[in-house]
Amino acid sequence: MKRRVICLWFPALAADRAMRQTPSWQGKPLAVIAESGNKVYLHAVNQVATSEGLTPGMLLASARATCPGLVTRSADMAADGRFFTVIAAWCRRYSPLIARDGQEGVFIDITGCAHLFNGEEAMLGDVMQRLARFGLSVRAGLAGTPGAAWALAHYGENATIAPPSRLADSLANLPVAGLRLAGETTDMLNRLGLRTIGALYGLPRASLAARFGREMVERLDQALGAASEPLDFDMEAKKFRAIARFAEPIGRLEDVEAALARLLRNLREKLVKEARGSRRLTLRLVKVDNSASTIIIGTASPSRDADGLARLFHDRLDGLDAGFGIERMVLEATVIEPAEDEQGALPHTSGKTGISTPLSHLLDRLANRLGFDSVLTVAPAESHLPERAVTAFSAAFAPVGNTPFPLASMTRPSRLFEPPQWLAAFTPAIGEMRLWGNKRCVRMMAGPERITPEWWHDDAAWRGGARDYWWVEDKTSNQRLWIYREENTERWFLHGLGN
Amino acid sequence: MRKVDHITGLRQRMEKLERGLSGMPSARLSFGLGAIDDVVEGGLAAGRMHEVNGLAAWSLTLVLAGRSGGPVLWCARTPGKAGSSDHRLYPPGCVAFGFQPSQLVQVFCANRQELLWACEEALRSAALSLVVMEDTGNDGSAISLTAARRLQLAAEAGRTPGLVVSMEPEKAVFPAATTRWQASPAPSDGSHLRMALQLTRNRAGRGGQWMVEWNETARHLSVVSSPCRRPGNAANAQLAG
Repeated sequence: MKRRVICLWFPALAADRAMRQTPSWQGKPLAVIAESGNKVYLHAVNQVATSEGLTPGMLLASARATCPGLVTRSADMAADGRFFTVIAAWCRRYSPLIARDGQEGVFIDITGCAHLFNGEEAMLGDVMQRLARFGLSVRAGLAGTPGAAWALAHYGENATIAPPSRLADSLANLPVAGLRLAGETTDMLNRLGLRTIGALYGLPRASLAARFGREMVERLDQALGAASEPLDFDMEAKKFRAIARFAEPIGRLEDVEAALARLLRNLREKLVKEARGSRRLTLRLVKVDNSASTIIIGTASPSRDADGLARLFHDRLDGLDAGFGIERMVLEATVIEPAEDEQGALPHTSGKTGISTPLSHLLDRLANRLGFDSVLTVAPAESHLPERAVTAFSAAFAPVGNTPFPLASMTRPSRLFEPPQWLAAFTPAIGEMRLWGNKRCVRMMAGPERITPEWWHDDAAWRGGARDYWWVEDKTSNQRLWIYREENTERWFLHGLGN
Repeated sequence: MRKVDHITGLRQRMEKLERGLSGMPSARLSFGLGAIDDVVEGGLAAGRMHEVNGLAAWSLTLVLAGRSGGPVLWCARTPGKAGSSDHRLYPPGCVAFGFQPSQLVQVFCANRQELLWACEEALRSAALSLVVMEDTGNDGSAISLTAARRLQLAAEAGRTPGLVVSMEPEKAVFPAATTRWQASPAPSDGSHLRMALQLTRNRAGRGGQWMVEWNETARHLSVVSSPCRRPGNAANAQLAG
C-alpha cells in the first residue's frame, strides 16, 4: 500500500490560543509578543493582524506604528507547548501514527485510513473544518512523502492533495525553501536562479551534491520518495485497560460484579507487570442500545488490590440501571502511578509508610460515595482571622493526625456561625439582646480581643473594619457566646458558641 | 539491637500492668471522673450507641472525643443545604476541650440517608475511636427504630462507640440509645466552663445528675456540687425538680 501523509502546519498557534481564551478580541488585530535581549518582537499574530501587514519576528515598536490598535499579550511558551500536545493527541482520531514537526506542525501517516473518512479529499476537508471550528488557523498538505506534504502545507495552496502519480508535478512550482533546507542553501539556490523545486529536477545530482552538500540532495529525494524518511511517531501512552464482551447481554448485579472481578484481576496483572498502581479507575458499562454508564472511583494512593477496588465499585453499582442488558464492560486505569512493592491491600499514606489501614479503606469508601470534598481532615492555617485559621483537606489524601493545632486556639469557640448573626438590638450597657426570637440578658465575661482584617485580602466579610471580640455568658440559657463589634459600623454580631 | 528489644519488652509489660490496674476492659470510653464512671461501669461502652442532647451537648462530645485518644469521625449535614444548622464545628475550638482537631475527620452528608450510611460504615470499620453523628436536622424527626438498630449492630461489629449529638434539649432523637445524656450549660464562676449533666437513660443501671466543671488547662472534668443546691437558676431548678 502506498504511503500517504498529511502535514498540518499551525502558523499562529500562540495567537490562536490567545484568541480562544479571550473571545472578545474577535476582529481585533492581536500579537503575542516575546522578548529577546532588550528587544520586544512579535512571536505570533492573528489573521486580522496579518492582513494589516504584521508578520511574526517584527519589532513591537514598528508593529505599533503600522497598526495602532494592536492588542498584545506576552507569550507563554510552556502553555503553548501543552496546547500543541493536546492538538497533536487530538489528531490521533485520524490515524494512530502521529509525529510532531517541531512545535507547530504535525505529520499524520494516514496510509490505509482515508477510506474510513470517505476518501482523502473528504478526510482532509474534515481535518480543516474541525480545526477551524476550534479557532485554529491551519495549513495542510497531503502527499506520498512527509517531505512533499510539508512543502505543500508551507508553500503550496492550502489543503492541496498531491496524487501519487503526479507527486513531482505538484511540487514543481513550489519555492526551494519547501525542501526544508538550511537558510544559506536556500539563499544560494535563489541567487543562482534556481527558485523552484522543479528547476532542480533536471540537474545532475553529482554536481548538486558537490555544490550544496549531500543534505540538499537527500531532502530532494525524500520529498520525491526516492529516499525513505522515517518519522518519529508519538507513541500512545500505554493503556491499562481490560474489556469484557458478553455473548448475551447481562443485567443482574451479581453477573456484573463477577465480570468486574475478572476485569480487575486482568488489570492487576498488567499493572503488576509494569510495577504500576492506579489512582483512578473508570468502568464503562455499554448497554445493548449503545448507551453507556460510567463509574469512576478513586483511591488515596496507587493500588492494584483487586478485592479492595471491587469493594469500592460495589457501593457504586447499587441502583445501576442495566436497561435492556449490558453488552460490554471496559475497565480502564486512567491515573497511573508507580507502585514498586507488592501491596496486599489498599495502601494509605499514613506516616508515609504506605501500609494499608482500615481507616484509609474507610475514608476511600466514604469519599467515593459522598465526594472527595465531603470527607475532610483539617490543619491550622497561617491566619489570625477565625474563618481563615483552618484549612480543610480531602481526608483521602491528607493523613489523619498530621498537624496539631496550637494551644493558642484555646480561646476560640467550638462552633462558628457562618455568616455571623447580626445582634440587632444589643446595647452592652444594658446587656440585653434578642437572639432567635428570645430576649437574652448577658454578663460580660472576657475581652476584648481585637482582630484586624488582613489588608492583603479583600474579604467582603471584613469590610466593617477591625473587630473587638468578647466572650459573654447568657444569663438565661448559660450559653457562652462569642460576639464582636465592628469598628466602622459599630454593629454587634454573634460569631460562635463556646458550649 | 538487644537494648531496643528489651525496652520494647518493658513497654509491653507496662501496658499490660496498666490495663490490669485500671480494672476495666479497654472497650470503655471513660469520662475520667469517678463519680460518673461508677454509674456507667467505667464509661461509655464501646460497641454501643449513645446519645447526648442539650445546649452543652457539643462540649461533652468534644471532651469524650479528646478522651478517646484516637481518630474521631464527625458526621454532619452539608452546610448550606436543607437540614443543616447555621453553625458548625470549628476545629480550633476543640483544643480547649482537650481534643486535638488533627485527629478529626469531618464528613458532610447531603441528607439523613447518607448520614446514616456513613455512620454505619464508620462504626463497622473498627478504625475509629469514636463516631459522632450530629443530627441537627430542622425537621426534628427522630431516627427510625430500624435505622437505629442497624447502627447498633454496626457499632457492635466494629466495637466502636457511637454518639448521636443533637442540640434539642429534652428530646430523644435516637430511640435505641444505651445511654442518653442531657447536657445543659450552667452558670460558671467566670473561668471554667460548667455544665449540668443528667443521665436520663441507662439500660445497664441507674441514672444520675451532676454539676461538672471542665478545666481546660488540666484537661479533666470535676464535680462541682450537687446542682439542686444552687438556687435561683432556671436550668438547675428544672434539673432538681
